[in-house]
Amino acid sequence: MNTVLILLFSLSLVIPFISILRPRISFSFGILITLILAFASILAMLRFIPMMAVGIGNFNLYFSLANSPFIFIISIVELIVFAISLRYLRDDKILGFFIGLTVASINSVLFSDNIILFLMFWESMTVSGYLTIGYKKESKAYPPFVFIAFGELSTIFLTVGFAAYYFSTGSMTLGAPLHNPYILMVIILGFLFKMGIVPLQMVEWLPIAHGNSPVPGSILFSAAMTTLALYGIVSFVEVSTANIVIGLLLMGFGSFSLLFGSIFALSSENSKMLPAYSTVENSGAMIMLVGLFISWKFYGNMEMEIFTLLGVIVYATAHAWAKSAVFVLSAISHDFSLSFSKGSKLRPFSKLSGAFAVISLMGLAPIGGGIGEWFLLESLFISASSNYLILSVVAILAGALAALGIGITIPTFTKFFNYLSTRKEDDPMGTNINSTISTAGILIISISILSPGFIYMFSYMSSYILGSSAPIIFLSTLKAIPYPFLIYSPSLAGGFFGFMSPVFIIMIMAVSTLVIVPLSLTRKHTRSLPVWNGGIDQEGTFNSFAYANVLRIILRKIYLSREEKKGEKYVERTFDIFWLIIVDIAKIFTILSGKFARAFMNGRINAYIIYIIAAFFTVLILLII
Amino acid sequence: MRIWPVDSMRKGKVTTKFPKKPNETISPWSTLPEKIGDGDVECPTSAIENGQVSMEKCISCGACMTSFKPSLKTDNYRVINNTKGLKRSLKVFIIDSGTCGACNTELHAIANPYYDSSRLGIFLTNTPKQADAIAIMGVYTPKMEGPLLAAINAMARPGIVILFGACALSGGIIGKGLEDIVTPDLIIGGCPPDPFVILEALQKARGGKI
Amino acid sequence: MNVEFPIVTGYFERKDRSYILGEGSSNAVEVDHDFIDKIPLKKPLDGVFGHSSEGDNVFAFNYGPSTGGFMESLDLKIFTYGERILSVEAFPDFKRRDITLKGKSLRDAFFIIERFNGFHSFSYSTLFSRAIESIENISPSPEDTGTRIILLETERIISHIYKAARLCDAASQNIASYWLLSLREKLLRILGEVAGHRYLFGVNRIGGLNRRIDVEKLRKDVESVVQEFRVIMKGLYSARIFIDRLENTCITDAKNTRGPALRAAGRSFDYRTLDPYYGDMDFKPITERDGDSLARFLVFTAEVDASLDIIKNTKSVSMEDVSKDPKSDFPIYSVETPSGDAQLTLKLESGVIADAYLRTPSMLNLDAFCSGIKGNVKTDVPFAFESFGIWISEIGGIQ
Repeated sequence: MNTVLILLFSLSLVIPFISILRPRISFSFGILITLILAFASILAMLRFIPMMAVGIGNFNLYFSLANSPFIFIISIVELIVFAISLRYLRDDKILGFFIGLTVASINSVLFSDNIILFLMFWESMTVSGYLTIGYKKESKAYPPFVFIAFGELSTIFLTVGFAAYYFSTGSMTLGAPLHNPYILMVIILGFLFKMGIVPLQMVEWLPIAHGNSPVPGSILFSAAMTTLALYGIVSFVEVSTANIVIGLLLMGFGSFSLLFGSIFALSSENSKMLPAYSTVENSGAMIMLVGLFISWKFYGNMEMEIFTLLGVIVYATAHAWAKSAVFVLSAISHDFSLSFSKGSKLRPFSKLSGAFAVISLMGLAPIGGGIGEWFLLESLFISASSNYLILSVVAILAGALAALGIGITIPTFTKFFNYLSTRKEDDPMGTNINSTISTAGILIISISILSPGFIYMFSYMSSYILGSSAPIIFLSTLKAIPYPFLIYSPSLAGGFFGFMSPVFIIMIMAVSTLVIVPLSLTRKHTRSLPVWNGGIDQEGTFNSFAYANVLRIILRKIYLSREEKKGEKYVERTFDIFWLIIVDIAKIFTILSGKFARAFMNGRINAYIIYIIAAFFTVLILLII
Repeated sequence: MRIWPVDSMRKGKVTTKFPKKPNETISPWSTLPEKIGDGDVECPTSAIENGQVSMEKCISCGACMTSFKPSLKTDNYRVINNTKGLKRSLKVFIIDSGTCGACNTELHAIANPYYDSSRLGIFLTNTPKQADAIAIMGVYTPKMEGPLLAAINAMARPGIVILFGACALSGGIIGKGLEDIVTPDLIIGGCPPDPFVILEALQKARGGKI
Repeated sequence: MNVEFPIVTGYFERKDRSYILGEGSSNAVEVDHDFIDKIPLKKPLDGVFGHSSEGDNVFAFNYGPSTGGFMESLDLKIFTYGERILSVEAFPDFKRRDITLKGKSLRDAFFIIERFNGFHSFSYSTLFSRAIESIENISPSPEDTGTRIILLETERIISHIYKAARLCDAASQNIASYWLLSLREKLLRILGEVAGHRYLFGVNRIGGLNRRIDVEKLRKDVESVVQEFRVIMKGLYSARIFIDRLENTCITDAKNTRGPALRAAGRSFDYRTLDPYYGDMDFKPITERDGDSLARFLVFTAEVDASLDIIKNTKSVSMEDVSKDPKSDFPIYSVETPSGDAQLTLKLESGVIADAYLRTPSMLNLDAFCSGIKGNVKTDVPFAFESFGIWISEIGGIQ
């Protein structure tokens, strides 16, 4: 079995090196590997293959219930990354290498069972991710510098946290129970920085929206790395002693992040910045679920523990896949400004797939994100109705903020989808995304159609990982809906609290569509008319900036938007208030660390490459010996 | 502070029962004049021929008052094509081609509490795409020709095209009429037409009871 | 010749000579062509107001020409980057009626002017007949003159009530709006009964009135309507939600506006104070300071009361002693229409119109609206527009 594990681990390490020779082959190879990994992790979650662990010195790898769901989620994301790279990067060897390296690092983090190994791959992921984005940089140095500084902040917290973890538990491997809440909090913070939670959201949007950053890199940043950070948090929280304060804090952080993320997303004009802010929002939701998980763990309600953990994983799945699809959609246009987007033509099914993705991110049932949203809201409602006063108060407050934020995502993604998928003039610079987005669309809709399967698999896994004697599967039957097509949430008094059936909703929608569409097509008296524009021809278009300007005017204090008149021209400028503060801090930081930076990170890209590769191999060799 | 609903209750009902009951009032000179004497009359729009007044041309100026008096009848309209299928609801879109403003306000007046056209299922709408009837008023103006034809084209079918008021019918004294570029289903005369006439004409054109 | 006027209210060109109209002056004054170029007045009919804007993300949001929102055909290009209005360019020329008065007989010209703006028909027919009466030295009987004033003021009350109703409608104050509309309908019915036409077409004539009007009945009925109007206004003045929408909306200065809009911006000018018709009356213009929609609303609703006072006090006015001023080529005749003072210059040759120019208040107020609306948001447009009482039919070309 150890051979299988080492094989699974090392497969992805090969990808970057093939890329140096032939990028396209490496991408195709990557697709194959991600499929293998996804399949293996399904088997692992259902306990068809036993838990595997291997250790050579400190080089510990494992493949078990704890990391298999995340390997499953992330390998699908990587599949989409490689699929779009085939079209988007074509024969770009350097970029292909960096993408491969980032993927390899991410997978290595997932397989690591040792804190040093974990940290090392984490760092290699940060730097290679940065190189993916920064190597074509054109603008002045400080935005990427701010990014790397805050990215490193995550590493610093993790290093400190892991060191404390070692001294507290005496174990170098992951999965030792941690009883000290402060250490746990430091570790969680380290991961939160990587997730780009408010007020450090620029860790998320800056690298993605910046300059020539490639779309596959954005997907890795937004979907894969966020999920990876979530994995980090979950894997530590699962085994540690629960602390209600941490639980409530995370709920607070999460709701705040959710609200601000969605507010900033709506006003974004950049087709990559908007989904990046949306990731900030979704990270918030996932953090809230983790907070709920910790709280229920503290109160010792096993059923709710499993339910909230299940929620985390369902949410993470829906988010990661839909977010990947949304970034694929942004690749359609050469120009990343929403108002000026144009690109190649979308096939009807591709358009539908894009719609699945954005509806999922809007959190509307029955698409995946809607199921995740349902888990979040049900957990909040159940918590609000519990006997634990502090939990119910925080659940209500955090839930109110979350509901506000969730509502805003609907116009956000309506705008995003509308400006990217309609009004297309053919632009040879745009990427043909039809096959990739169709694949992603099928994956996203499969979450709903195969929801009983997904819920069964994740419930099963969650039950065993939390040490439940028998698996609690949140599937049931009700009236006309046969088992297992009903998902339910547990009531604290026993029985159902609420339920939903994505399959049933989809069936009703599909049947009614099948009835309505033929009927409407057979109608004889149909005319198509131009838009009524007061009687004159349509001229000028409602641009995407205007779409969000209501909010911009209402929330002037948050956006710090200003109307300026330069000569005869009007300019409205919007700033992210947190970003302004961070930039100020960064400037001070830049001055202070000027000498250090000049000596160590001298701005030449080669130095970074040498640094990462050297570090990578040194540590590998050291560990193996 | 006013409590508006209470006030409106206190105000009572002013709405007419027309067309079930006869009209309470009418703007006298907006109706077609009838001959009462044989005096020589000089009509500014030559609307009088053989003692008959043409509803298309009469601009309600009252210059013929020496030999004519207002008929006070609500028959100042003519249905050219009967339209079926609009008995329950009729949405009217107004197009102003070149009016003095009186036709516009008179047509809007049918929605005021005295006439309350909504009790008959007649509503004013803001887009021709929702309209079952288009009321075109005013003289011909070159720049409105495009919007006017576009609106008729955009109107739902079946629909009623209405030429409204003397200006649209003949140009009145101001300019050129619209009879050459629009084929109406209903014409309503008067300068401007009285709301009662409008209500009766709309009812008749949609095949309703009078 | 260049002249100094307190305020220039219009200009026109005849036979390569340029004339300007000034506020309160009784003559059109000939000026140099360059002087005309310096006057900040716009030519509304050419659709040129010079209000377009450009900038990052700025686009022109089209509203009109044919919508349910405006009573008449008007096209607005709202320059914006979403919600906030940077500027508005208005195109009133869609329904441009090129009306030719030149060469028309006095009677035909009279009927045309009567149907120039149907809503303020009596004001314009009075203006025209007074101009002819002045030129031809005809004196209408004192009773007819008095009745004209009463009808002018009744028309003003109707117009103001209608404006208030439109404002309420825009602010979704539906009960107030319908109530006001029913008051207007009541007045129109009274006019139909006493004068034979709801819009007073055919009532006026050169040299007097065509029909005998029961002034006493009219007076009584108008008074009862105005009393009811006061009840509604008491409610509206205290309706926070209504006032909030009007306050600070479309603030205009006193430059180049007319009528209630001018007085709402703080200038105490009302042509009725200069008008010999209103000679003996102790009449003071109503003013407000802020120049926003609320100020205009307060001015024209207060004018309803003032008009009722005039109606109650007017008996008959003798016009024997009114001086005539035939010195200039183009003497100016004015009347205060409900939207502001209209100015007419007229020249007759052997019983037909040789030359005419009519400057209507809407010509200036539309530009004032376009300038004032800057910085408001799009939903403010109806609150701003309806408060001016602009009639697009007035912005027609009179030859």
